[in-house]
Amino acid sequence: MELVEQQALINELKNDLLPQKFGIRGKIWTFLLLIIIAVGLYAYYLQLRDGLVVTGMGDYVSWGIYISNFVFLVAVSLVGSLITAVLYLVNVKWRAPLTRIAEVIAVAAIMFAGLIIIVDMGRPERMFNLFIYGRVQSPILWDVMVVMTYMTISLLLLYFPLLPGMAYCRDHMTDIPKWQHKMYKILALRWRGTKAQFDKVHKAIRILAVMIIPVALSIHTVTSWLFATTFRAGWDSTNFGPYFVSGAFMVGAAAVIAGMYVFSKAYKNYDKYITKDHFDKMGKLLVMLSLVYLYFNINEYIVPAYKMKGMEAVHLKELVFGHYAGMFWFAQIGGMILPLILLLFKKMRTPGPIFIIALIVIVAAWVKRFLIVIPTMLHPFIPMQEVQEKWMHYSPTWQEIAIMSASLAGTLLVMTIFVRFFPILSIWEIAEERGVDMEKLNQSIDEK
Amino acid sequence: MKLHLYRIITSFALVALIFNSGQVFSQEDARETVEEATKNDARIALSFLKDNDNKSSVKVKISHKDKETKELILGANMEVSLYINEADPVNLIGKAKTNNKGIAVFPMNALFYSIADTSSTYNFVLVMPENEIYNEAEEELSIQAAKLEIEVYEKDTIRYIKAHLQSKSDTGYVPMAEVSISFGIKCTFSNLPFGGEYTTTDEDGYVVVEFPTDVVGDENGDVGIVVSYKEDEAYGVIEKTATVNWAIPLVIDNSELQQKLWSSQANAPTPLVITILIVLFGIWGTLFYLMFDLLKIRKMGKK
Repeated sequence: MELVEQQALINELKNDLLPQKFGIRGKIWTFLLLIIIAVGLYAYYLQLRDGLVVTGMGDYVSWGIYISNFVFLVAVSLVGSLITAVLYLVNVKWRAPLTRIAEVIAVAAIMFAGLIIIVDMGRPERMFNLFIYGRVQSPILWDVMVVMTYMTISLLLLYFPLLPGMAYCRDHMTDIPKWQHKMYKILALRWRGTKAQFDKVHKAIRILAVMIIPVALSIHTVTSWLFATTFRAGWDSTNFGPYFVSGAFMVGAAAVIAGMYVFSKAYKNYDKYITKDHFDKMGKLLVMLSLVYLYFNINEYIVPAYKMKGMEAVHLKELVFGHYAGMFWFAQIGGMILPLILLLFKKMRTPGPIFIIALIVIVAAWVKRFLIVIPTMLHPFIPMQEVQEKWMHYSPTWQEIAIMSASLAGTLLVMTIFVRFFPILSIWEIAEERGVDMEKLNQSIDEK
Repeated sequence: MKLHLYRIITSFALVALIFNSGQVFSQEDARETVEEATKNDARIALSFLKDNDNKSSVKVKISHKDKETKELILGANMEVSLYINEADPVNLIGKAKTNNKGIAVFPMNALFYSIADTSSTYNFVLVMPENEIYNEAEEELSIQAAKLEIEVYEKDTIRYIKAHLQSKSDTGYVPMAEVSISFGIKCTFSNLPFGGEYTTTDEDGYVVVEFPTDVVGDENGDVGIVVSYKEDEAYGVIEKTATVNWAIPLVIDNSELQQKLWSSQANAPTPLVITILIVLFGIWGTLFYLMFDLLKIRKMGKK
């Protein structure tokens, strides 16, 4: 490709992909998210004022929907490592328009995963005691360490490839307020696109891509160990690490598909870059991930179901036929079997149908985390003495639901704000994918 | 015709009155019967305790048997009052509410101790007014005053505990002969008995037992001894305690507590600490290196 053609392609990409002001739909969406967050903040104020007594948690269920939500958000965040790192290292070219969507989802989800843990503490100011008095043998301390590490890696993996994009915003967006221009100027770190600068960015992406994979596996494995290292029906399993990781990859991929659909519909011209082919490939990827997840699900349920030992049997019966049967079968069929079968058909891997399937997978994934946390807590091996009857059941209060909804709305708001101010599709990576030599192109511009 | 009509009206009014009054009476009777049927007669257990410092208390336990299931139900949150001699406000020892096990404990007040100084028997009266669960109830406990003294000593390398039990009479204290005294070593949840089966007092009210040589105490060899006379019916429970330095000192093997997954922060297993530090420094070192690279990128942008 000639330099002139390359320059023309870059200009086209800038025209299409630089951030745009929100229309009425974008404003209504943001307003709705802010309302949900405001209600959640009020509920949290009540929780801080009165204590965890405002929640439905008690002696039996001491981990309610806050922890279910934490596991869900950690799972969603894992997609950053899948799309950005795994597909990068195996040199999959079509991933270029999807990397930033995946990274933004990862950063937003892990931020709120960390916050919801603090919300779960009756006395949040005691968080620091974990660092002062925490035991290095405790998976809870490992989890805090690995969440912080994963968040930092994800932020860097978002920021390094964003540098050229910031520079495009700085140099080409003229009709913007002064503060916004100043923000781009600071964040672009004097980016000029020199070979040396590109070398640094490429090297950083390579290092981070390698590093994020073990850390991503650790974050969800350690999260699974919070459960699996305790001796309780439904959690006492050596299968929990890969079971959690495979489920996380699946829900993360579904989240990226949902994001792809929303962005391609919200902005004109985005469908030039997020094509039907991308949906098709992500659909196939989701089928593969469903199969892996199905394998670990079979291990997780069939082995204890074969033995039907004491409390494990009670727990399994409760899930499969009992009080939680509706949720259980929705999570298993809607979140795994249905996408697995439907996405085998090419028609189902087109934008509309796959978006609906992805949404079902996401909702089922949340329900699944609820089922991992709550029913087990209701079945302790040694029933507690002199416990109030109402503590033997769990239903979240409006405060819990409001706070949990606010954390999900917050995750979406971070992504919304990002899209409003930064290019959600990486201009230079798409250009490179289409044959543009960014270093040469910038060199020629500098020489002129 | 007029008379006939008058008779009819009068008869009708009378029948209505009788029928109606009967209905009123029967409703009230029914309500009372239902209330009586739902209320229970309380089982009240009273016990008297005199502790090491000669401080006394009375414990009350309220319960009843469920009429249908025959299960024992504890009378929690019941208001009860304890009096000395008779249930008169001037004789009030105290008021209390039973806990969730149906138990309330009354420490004795100045009124009791002033009576105890001059009297050899005390009569307690517990009153529970009628409430939603129980009918009104009253229970009495009569206690004969007594005192227990202990002495610990060593003779020819053998350690002994001597107990002396006396009962109070109008003329003073008199020895209590041929009664059983319990000797025990204070443990976490109960007392470990020692002294053999026959620890009865002699005619002077004395009993001497040998302290066992194989008892393990705390790190200094200290151990608590509990000597008690338990005759609930007449004397209540009289208890005396003492701490002696006669036990084998407890040796704690610290190595057992170290370097385990369940040890304290300071005793975390070294290989685990080293592994975590290597991983943390490795990852965060790389991350700081990359953050430093961001500054370099900025420097490279200078024209």
